[in-house]
Amino acid sequence: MNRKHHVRAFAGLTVFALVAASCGSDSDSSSDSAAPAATDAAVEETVADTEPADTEPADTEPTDTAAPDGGEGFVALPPPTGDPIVIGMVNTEGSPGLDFPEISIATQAAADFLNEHGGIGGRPIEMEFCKASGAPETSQACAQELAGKGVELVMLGLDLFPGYDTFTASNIPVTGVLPILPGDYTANALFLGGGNTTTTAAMAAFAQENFGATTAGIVSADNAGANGTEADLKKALDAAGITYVSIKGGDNETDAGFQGLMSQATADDPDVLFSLYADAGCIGTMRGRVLLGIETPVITTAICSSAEVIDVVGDDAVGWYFIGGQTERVGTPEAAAFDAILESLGFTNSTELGLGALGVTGLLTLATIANTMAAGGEDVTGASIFERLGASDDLVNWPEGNALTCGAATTYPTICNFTFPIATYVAGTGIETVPGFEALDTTDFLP
Amino acid sequence: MTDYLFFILLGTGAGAIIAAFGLGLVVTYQGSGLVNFGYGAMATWAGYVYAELRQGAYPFPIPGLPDRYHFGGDVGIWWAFGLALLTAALMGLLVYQLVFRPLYRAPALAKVVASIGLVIVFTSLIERRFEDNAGLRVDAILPREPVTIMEGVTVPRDGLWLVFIVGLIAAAVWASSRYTRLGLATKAAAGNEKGAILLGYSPQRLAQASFVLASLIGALVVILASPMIQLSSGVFTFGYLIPALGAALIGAFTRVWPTVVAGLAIGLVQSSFTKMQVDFSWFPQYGAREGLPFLVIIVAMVFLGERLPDRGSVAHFRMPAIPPAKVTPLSIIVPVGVAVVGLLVLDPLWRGAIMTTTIATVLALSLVLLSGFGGQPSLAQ
Repeated sequence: MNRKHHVRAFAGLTVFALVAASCGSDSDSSSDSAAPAATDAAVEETVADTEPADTEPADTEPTDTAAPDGGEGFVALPPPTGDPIVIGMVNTEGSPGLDFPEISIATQAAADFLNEHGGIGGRPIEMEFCKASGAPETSQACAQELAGKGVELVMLGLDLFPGYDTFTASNIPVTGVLPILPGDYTANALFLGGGNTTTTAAMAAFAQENFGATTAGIVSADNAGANGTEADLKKALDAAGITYVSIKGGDNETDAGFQGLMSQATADDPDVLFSLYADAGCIGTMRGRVLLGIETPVITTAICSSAEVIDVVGDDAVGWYFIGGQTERVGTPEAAAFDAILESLGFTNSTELGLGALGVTGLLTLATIANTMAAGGEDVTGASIFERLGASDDLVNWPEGNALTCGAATTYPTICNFTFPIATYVAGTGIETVPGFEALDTTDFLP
Repeated sequence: MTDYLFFILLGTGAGAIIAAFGLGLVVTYQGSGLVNFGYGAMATWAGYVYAELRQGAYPFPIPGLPDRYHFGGDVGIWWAFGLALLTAALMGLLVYQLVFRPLYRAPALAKVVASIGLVIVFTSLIERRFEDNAGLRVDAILPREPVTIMEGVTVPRDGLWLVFIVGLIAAAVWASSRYTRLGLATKAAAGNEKGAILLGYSPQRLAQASFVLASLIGALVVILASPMIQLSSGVFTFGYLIPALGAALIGAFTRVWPTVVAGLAIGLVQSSFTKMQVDFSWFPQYGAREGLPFLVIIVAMVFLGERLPDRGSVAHFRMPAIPPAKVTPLSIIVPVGVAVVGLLVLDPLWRGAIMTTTIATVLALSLVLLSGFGGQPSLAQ
C-alpha cells in the first residue's frame, strides 16, 4: 500500500501538471465551501500581495505554445493512411494497491483519437498493452512479450521495474512520461517529464526567483517516497543557497496534526514554506496554515491545486503556489483535442482522467514529434522518433509547447523536459498562472 | 512545557482512533480468539458508506450487483449514521459467518491468512467502488472550533470530543464485560471454551456477537473521525491498525483500560515527535513516528509475551503429515535442464514464462523452509 501511495505521489506531481497545462484547473472558483472564520485575514491576501518585488520574468521565456502539433491542432488533421505503427505499453494493473488501468484506457482513447486525426506522422496506431503487477518478474515478462510481438516503440505507463535490458537487446526504443525510480534516470530510455527531480528543482527556483527566499521550512510525510522527494528538495535548496528546517509528519495525520507541523515549520519565521504532502495532506496543511494565522507563502505541487482539494478548502488556498499548475486553457487546439478524448471516455472533467493523463499527453507528444518529422520529409518509425527526440533542440511537448531537450542536464540523460509553469490560487477566480512563470527553467537547481 | 502540551493535545484525535481500534481488537479476540488484521479495512468501508450516504447514494459491496442505490440527495446525518452502523453490524456478522466460522477448527495461521485476505478484499472494494473519489472528505460531525486550554495552547476541540466518546465506549465495554451475562460468558469462554459449552453457551454465537460489537465500535469512530482526516483505503486499514495492535498487546488482548490508555498515549507521543525532532539533535531524523508502534509491539512481546493469553479452545487441530522429500539427481537435472534449454531456444514469451516460474519456485521454497520446517509463518516473505 505504501508503495502505491508513493507511486501515486510521484505520478501526481507530473499528472496534475500535465492536466493543468492542457486544460488548466477546472476547480470551481465559486465553490461555496464554508471557510473557517479564521480565514478572513488570509482571504484578504491576493496575488498582488505576494507579487515579487522584482517583477522580471523568469529566465526561460515560454516557447510559442500555439498548437505544437501544427497550426490548428490535431482535430484538423485527416485520418492517417500509412502503414500501422505498433506501440507497446507496460502498465501496472490488477494488483491490490497497484492498479492503474486508467492509464491504459486513456492511452487507447488517445490512440483512437489520433487514428481519426493524423495518426502518428501519418501512420495509424496499434496499441499493444501488457499488464505488470508491480513485481520485477512481471515487468520483465512484459518486456519479453512486447518484444515477441514486434512493437516498434514502447511508451511506459507506470512500470516500476521496466525491462530496459530486454528492450535494448531487441532494439526497441523506450519512452515514458514519468521516471519513477532512480534507475529510470540513467536507463536507455527517454522521459517526456522529469518527475520528482525537476519538480523539486522548480520549487527551489521559484522560491529564489519569486520570493528572494534565503530561509525555508519543509513539511513532509515520513515514508520512503516522501523522504526521497525531501532529499531531492534539500539538494535543490542547497543549490539555491536557501537554508531550511525540515519537519516530518505522519501518513495518517489528522487536521490537528497538520497544524502542529505547520506551526513547527514556521517557528523560525522562514521566507517560504514547502509542503510535500498530497491529497488529504493538502487540505490539512492549507487549513492548518489559516487556522494558525500563518502568512508565509507555501510552495507545493500541482496535485494540491486539483478540484478535489480546492473544492474543500476554498479560499484557504490563498497564498499557496503550485508547481506545474496553470490557468485554464479554453478554446485552444490543445483544449479541443483534450476535450474530444475526454468525451470519448464519457468524462466531462479533466480531473476524471486521473493518471490517464500520463497516457494522453505522452502519446500526443510523440504524435507531435512524429508529425513534425513527417512534415519535414523524415521517415517515421519507432527508432527514428526516439532518435529525433534524443537529438532534438527544436521539438516541443504537448500540450504545453515547452522545449524538449533530452540530456540537457548531463546527470539526468533520460529527462527531456526541464520547465514548469507555476500557478497560485486567486480568491474569487481560482487557479491562475503566476505572471512571468509560465515556463520556469529548473536546470540550474537540479539536485 | 506549554509548547509540548500544545503538540501533545494535537494528538488527541489520532490517539482516540488508535485507542478505539485497540478496543475493537480486544473485543474481537476476547470473543473469538482471533486477531483480525482486517479490522481497520472493515471500519473503513463503513466510513465510506456514511460519506457516500451524505452524498445521496448507498454503495453495494457485492460484485455483480449495481454499484449504488441513489437516494437523489443527502440522506441526512442520522439516516447516514444509522445505515452505516447497520452496515457495519451486518458486515461483522457476515464476515464471521462466511469467513471465520468455517475456519473454527483451522490452525491459527489459516485464520491470520483469512484476516489478511479481508484487508485485500475491502481495500480492493474501496478502490473499485470509489475509483474516482477515493479521497472522500465529509463535513464536520463533532464540534471543531478551537478551544484555549491555557495561554498558548489552543487546539481543535474535535479531538478532545473523540477522546471523550471513546472513553464512554470503553467504559460501556468494560462494564458489560463485568456486569452483563453476555460479557461474563464471553470472558468465561475466552478462558475455558469447553466450560462455556457445558454451561450452554455457544462459542460461535459469542464470537459472532464480538465481531458485530467490534465492527460497530470501529465504524462509529471512523465515521466521527472522517472529517478530521480524509478517508482513504490505507489510512485506517494500516495507518491506525498497526499502533492499535501495539495498544492491544499492552492490554494483553484482554484488558480494556490498559489498551485504551496505551492507544491514546501512542497518539499523543507521536504528535509530540513533531516538536522533539527539532528540539533534540539525537532524535532520529526518519522513522520515529512510524517506528513507535513497532517499538511498542516489540517491547510488549518481550515483557508481556509470557502473559499473553492463549485462548481456550475445544478444537485440537492436527497438522497434516509431511511426506519425506524424494530428491533424486533426475528430479533436479530434468527441470533445470529444460529451463536452461528453454531460455536459450524459445521465443520471448516462453522465456518470460520460464523466468516467472523460476522466481515463483524460489519463493515457494523459501516458504517451505520457513513455515514447513521452521513452523514460523512470515507475512514479510
